[in-house]
Amino acid sequence: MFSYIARRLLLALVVVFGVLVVTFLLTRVVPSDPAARWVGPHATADQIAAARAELGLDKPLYVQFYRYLAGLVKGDWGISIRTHRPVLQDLGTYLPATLELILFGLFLAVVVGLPLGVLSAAHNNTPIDHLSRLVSIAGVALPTFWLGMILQLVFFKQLRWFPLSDRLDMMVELLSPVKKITGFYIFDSLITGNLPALKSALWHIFLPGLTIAAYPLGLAVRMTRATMLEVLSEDYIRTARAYGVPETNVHGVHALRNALGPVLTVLALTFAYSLVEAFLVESIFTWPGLGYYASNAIMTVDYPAIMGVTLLISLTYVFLNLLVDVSLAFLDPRIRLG
Amino acid sequence: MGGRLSYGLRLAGRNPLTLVGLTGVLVLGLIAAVAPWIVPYPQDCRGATDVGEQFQPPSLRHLFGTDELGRDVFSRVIYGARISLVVGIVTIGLALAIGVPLGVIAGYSGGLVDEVIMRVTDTFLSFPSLLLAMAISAMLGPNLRNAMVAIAISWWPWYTRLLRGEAISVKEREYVAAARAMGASWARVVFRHVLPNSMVPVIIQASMDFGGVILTCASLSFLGLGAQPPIPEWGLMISSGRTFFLTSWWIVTFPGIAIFLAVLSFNLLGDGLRELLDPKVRRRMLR
Repeated sequence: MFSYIARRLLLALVVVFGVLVVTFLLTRVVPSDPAARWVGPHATADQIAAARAELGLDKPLYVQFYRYLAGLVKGDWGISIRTHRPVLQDLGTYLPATLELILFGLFLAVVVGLPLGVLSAAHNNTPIDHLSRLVSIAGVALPTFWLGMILQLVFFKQLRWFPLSDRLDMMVELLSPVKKITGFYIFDSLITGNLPALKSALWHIFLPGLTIAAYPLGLAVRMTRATMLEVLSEDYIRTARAYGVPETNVHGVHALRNALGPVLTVLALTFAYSLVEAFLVESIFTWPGLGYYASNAIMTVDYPAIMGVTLLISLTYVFLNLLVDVSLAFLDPRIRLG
Repeated sequence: MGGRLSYGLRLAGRNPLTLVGLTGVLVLGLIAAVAPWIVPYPQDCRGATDVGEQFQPPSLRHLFGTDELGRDVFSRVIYGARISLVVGIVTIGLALAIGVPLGVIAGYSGGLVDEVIMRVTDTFLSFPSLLLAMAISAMLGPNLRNAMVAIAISWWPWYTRLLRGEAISVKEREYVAAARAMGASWARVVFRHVLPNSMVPVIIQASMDFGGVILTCASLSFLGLGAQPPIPEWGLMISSGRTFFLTSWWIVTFPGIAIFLAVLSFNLLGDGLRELLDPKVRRRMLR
């Protein structure tokens, strides 16, 4: 058991090192000259040379890499060219909005996707099954950014049910501002009893949340259906049926409990994917999160910010992978012994 | 061979969604092949503008309406099929060209070579592919060619991993031992005997990946990191119609439907292919 976890940790460390090498190479070795970008478009050759020395770009690559690593460890993730603030500080400012959005999206995906997957498996090869398979495949094939705009067209322009963009109404922001505790507006307004803000936050998160839920929802339906079908052919299900356990319980309790592991694994892994999808969704809904920050960084070629976001998301991804593997090892003896 | 083909078709017929996917892919290919000759306004796909015709809603003259520069959206959506297919073919070709040799060498050699190649592969797999493609494309400078390179760089590790697994089992076969015993060189054994016999799963995976690549490319273009104007790329069309979409819905709606249908077709076909090749599923379907 512990040798498995130790091996897995070691592997994660190797991968983290690799991720650092790749992000480093992307910032330093690609054709564009970071020093020229640092001083701006109208700099003289002397100024560029001075900037190169200042940024340490005249040193050999391994020295630069060492400095890069040392800086990262000390919390120096570079200075954003656009905001002129430390990248790490920027990331801290924008992260909560993104996390709130993604957690909301994953929540939607689970509460809709799981029952739909169970239903699909229980009625295998019937019209219900075909329909929910279509939903699952469509969820994965929809361009997220387009889906967001279509939802805006239907639910904002035509039906006027939901707001177009932003996290709160302007009036709410002025009259009953959310006290920032965690940066999650729904949570913060809930515990401070700020009902107008809570209502506004829920209203505003719905469309972007639904957009971001499309992909994990499709995946959840698909995984639930597949694992349920597998589990339903196991002996203990036949035993349960033979004992006269009602079909609803067979599906909802005995089978689902055993199908849950793989489904939750996949959803944990889509978390990092959703962080990237947030780039697209946030720019459409002007949601002030990491993706909004990143797409502005991309447009202004703010490379320290781009690399900061890349690094943060990749590290999250590696960490989640590790977490999933370790917790599965705890749950399933076949993995830790195999 | 004929018997296997009809067997395959009979199996495919059990899952109507696979046939839908196959039809969609064929139609897409056909449209892409003849696009320059069938679009009503070919000049609108090559950078011509018509300021007198801006923001026309869909009509008989402009089936999908016109965009902010007066270009015919229908012509551009049809032409976009060609762009997307080319992007898919080039990108997946590039990714295969990197991933396949590395995979077969890792699988056949084993030991330290295998270890090094696979750790590099793991590193690339630990970036979400769209993110890596974005970062590379942003750094290389945004255009369609760089976007294809960027997507390929984020895509090859999957092929390496898949091919390595196959190569490990293929290298134990008797014909490989026989080739070695006859004094065939390392390169000959690897590329003439092991590689061809390990390719099937990779080819299937690659054909399933078209949808994902098309979607990734559209996302990059939407963020301004892929195709640049006036290329009629679907993601770019949505991106430039974005400012006007609340008043002129047709500019973004039709390219989006095109992306959706193309990706959906490839995914349905890919799903079907995978089921056909998975003996467990196949048995269940025949029952």
